Amino acid sequence: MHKSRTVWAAAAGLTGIALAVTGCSTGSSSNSASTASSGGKVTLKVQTFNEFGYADLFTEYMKDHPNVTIVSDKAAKSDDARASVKNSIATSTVTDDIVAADVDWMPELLKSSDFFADVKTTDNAKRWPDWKMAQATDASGKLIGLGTDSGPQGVCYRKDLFQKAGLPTDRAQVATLLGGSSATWDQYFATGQKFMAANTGAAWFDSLGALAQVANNQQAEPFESKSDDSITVGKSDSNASKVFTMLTSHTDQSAHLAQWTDDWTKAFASDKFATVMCPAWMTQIIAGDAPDQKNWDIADVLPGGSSNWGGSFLLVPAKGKNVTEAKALADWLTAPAQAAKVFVKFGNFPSQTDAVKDATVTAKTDTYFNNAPTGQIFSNRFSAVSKQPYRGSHYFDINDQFGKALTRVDVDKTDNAAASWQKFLDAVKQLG
Amino acid sequence: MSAPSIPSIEQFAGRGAARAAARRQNHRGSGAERRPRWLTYTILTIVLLIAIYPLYYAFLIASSTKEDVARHPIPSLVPGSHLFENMLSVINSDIGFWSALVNSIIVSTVTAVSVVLFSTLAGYSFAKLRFRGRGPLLVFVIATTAIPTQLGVVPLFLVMKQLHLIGKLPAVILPALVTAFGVFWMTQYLEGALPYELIEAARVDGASMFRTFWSIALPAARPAATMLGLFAFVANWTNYFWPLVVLGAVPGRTTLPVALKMLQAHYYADYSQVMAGVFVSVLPLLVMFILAGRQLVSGIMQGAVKG
Amino acid sequence: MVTITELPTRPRDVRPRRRIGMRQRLGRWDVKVSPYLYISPFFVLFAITGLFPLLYTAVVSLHKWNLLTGEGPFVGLKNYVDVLHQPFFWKALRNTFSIFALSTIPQIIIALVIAAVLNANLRARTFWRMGVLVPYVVAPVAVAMIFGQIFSDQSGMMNAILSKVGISPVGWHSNVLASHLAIANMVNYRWTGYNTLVILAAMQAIPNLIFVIITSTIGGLQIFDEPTMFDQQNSATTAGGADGQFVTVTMYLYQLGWGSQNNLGRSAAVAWLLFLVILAISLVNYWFTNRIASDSGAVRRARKVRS
Repeated sequence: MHKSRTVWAAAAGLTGIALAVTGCSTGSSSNSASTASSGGKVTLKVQTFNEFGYADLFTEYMKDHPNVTIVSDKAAKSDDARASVKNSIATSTVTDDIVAADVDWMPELLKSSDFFADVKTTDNAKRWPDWKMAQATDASGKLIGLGTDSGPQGVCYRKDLFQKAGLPTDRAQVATLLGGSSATWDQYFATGQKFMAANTGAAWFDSLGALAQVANNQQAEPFESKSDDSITVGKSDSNASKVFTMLTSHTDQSAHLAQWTDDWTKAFASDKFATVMCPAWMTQIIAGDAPDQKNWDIADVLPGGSSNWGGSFLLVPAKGKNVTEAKALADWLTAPAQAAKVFVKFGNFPSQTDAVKDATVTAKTDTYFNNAPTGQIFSNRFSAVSKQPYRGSHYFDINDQFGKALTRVDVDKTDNAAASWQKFLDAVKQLG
Repeated sequence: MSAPSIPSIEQFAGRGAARAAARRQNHRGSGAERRPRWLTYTILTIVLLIAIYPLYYAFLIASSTKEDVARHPIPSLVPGSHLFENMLSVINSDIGFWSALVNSIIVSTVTAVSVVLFSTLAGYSFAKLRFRGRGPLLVFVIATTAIPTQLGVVPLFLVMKQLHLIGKLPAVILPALVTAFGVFWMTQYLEGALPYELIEAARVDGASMFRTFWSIALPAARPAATMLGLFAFVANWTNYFWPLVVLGAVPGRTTLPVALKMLQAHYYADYSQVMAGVFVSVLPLLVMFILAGRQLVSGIMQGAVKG
Repeated sequence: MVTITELPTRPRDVRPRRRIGMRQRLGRWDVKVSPYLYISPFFVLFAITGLFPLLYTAVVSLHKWNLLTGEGPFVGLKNYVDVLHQPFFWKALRNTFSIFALSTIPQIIIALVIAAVLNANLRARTFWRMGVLVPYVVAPVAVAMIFGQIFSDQSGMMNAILSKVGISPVGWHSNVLASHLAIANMVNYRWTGYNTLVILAAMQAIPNLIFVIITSTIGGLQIFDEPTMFDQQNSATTAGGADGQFVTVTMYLYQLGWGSQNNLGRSAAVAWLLFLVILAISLVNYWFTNRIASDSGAVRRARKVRS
């Protein structure tokens, strides 16, 4: 009895201490967002996801601005960051002074553009190409996001597998093989047929879904009509149905490996497929997933012309406590000089016109890709991007359903092309 | 002092204890025939192997390089030699490992103690005290467990905002201070394990209601309470979703599961580092099991008599 | 054996009698108020973290409500009608019940068996009991990672083993039943040991199997983490398989509210529908188990002895 009473007293005491500790530790470093404290000192909290490559830049900025402390809020996945931004809009709470957003969620955020500050200045108004600016400009012309990186695409390929199949292996020759500056999807699949005929045991590409990302982004109006935002996929000759038919008629060249699965990431190290559509950031994934595989190379070409996949922005919530300081930091982080530094060290390709032409960027080579001049290649691929597909109110839901329709045929094999297309149309009808 | 008779144990320490005592007496009398044979141990060994294998799988991957992982879908049963290297890379990465560990210890300890205290208090009241509305209120407590947790994210976030707790540890602790499960658990336990005679004796001695609770009910509740505390501790130790929502993935300000998820914040997946993270996060709990295991699990059987 | 499930029998009046005076009046007040005071932490906390979100969600479900742009016009039950007309909702409900059945039922049966074995007079009792609880301490994130690797369609261990014994590989992510089995496996792995110990406690001191049933029912029907993480291809806002093979109700409500549609109104309607389903099942469970309990003569006898 006596003993157990001491135990309880100890437990109660422990709670007290723990509560006190909690109070202290959170009291001192308290704030969710920044606190503007005395003496002109400000703390800026910056939310990013994946790897923006900002750690060194933060240190540099704090050194030049002794009154600024930067706190990094680094979500693991863009998913988590997206939910966090949305929750803060939904509850009108500013949790971070600067938030990063992927181009995929910009249409949603643009609908709540009041939540964010106008970040355009006379200085940065010409920093990006029009298509990049358009992704972050709302209906009234307000710019809510400063572009960080971009995803101009080339084709990554396996030299050894090409050689086995009797195809050229030099990256300039591969570019010509696929059609050079007038590369078409037909030529890509025709080459794929040759490759498959050589029976190397590998497939031509990873999955139809991966190709769809490229092919849809090359349409001016992939799923919806620009004039009235109506969904067009149901029409018999719609862009979407053409892309779907083209892709599903080449299922035999696919390795049936859905992107982002364990199977897919592991496949870069083995001999599962010979080519993969390669936005600049994909080079990091390949190098990270298959450090031993020395045969990956990259060609300055893309079936169907050119395309950008992905890229992010920095946004400043308008009701933050240090909007001016936050804008200044975001502007500095996205200036061409900083963007070039990030590319050289981390490989996130810039979206700023001047950064893309920067000598340190174009001079960059990648030892993993047999010393390919990745800087120059992606710079070329970037300059070729001219337009941006129309993304209406339902773009992302339709795009998601489109990807799933291809997965059903290609990876899961639960449906044939016609049945899967019908399911796709039904799913689109349920949106609303 | 001679061993008390079973009925007298039942009288003073409740039915559970009486059963336990009966069992003990049984063993004393005919222990030989009650000792389970090899079949039991075989079953248990198989169960244990299954239970431990996935953790061992994590250990295997944590101890090899990621190239090995890509090459061999079935890892060999012999661990590689890179465990410490991978664990160090977790600890030294920019996820703020040590502060996340401290935060997790704070959150789990506070919530475990609080759950035990408040649940025992409420359980004692429901089981042993007389008051109007007791039955319906207890049913209500059970019904609250049916509320889907995903349902509350936005409103709960609004509550924390009103309380100025966004980004602070109490925002994680507050919703977990007492659980319906805990209240129900302690109600059921005290119902059987705490005889009215003990309470009456204390009351006759002039003890206040709270004093009676503190010196009679709380000690009697210990066996079930330790187990409840363990469950609450682990539940909060492994909680990911809500800490992420209210604390964010800020190195130094968040809890261990959220911090470890930051290890995946690359374009590519380094499984050996991620699994090393898993292993590192489980290690403190395993140590706790080893140190406090006897207290925690065997308590249920032995404790009631002491009360 | 473990089925006393009725509310506690009406306790005896423990008030001391036949004394008057200031101290006594205080004491009487103590006796009257204390029971409510003791259960108040739960109810206060519930009001803040449970009731408010519940009512808030009810209000949202009756409006056209966008997560980002906020409250729209009042639409009555339109959100509920819309949801009930979506084939996807029914698919999600089917999946939820299927995964629930594949996890909960085997889980409780296995837990009962292991608990019976553990209840024997074992050598190294603590070791076995703690061993059974090991999976519970492994965070869901880790469990998902481990099982994600094991159940990969092409490079996974499970299919590698199957092909070694001459069975063709299973589409763990494409076949409806296979995906449910894989997910149920993740759930069972983590919770069987936990339920074993709860049942063991029930056998020894806490007379309540309904615990296990109600809590696993609720947990099972709210399943979110495991299937979401099982889909490696899609993010949480689109997860569940290319054909919705393993979308569950909570995933569906999350995707409606936090996906590109931002339809918090419909999401709240789904949340309430699920709440009502769970409440109904729990009450049926409760009533059913009570019936068994009160029909059981043994239990009645046990009661008589005690009171």
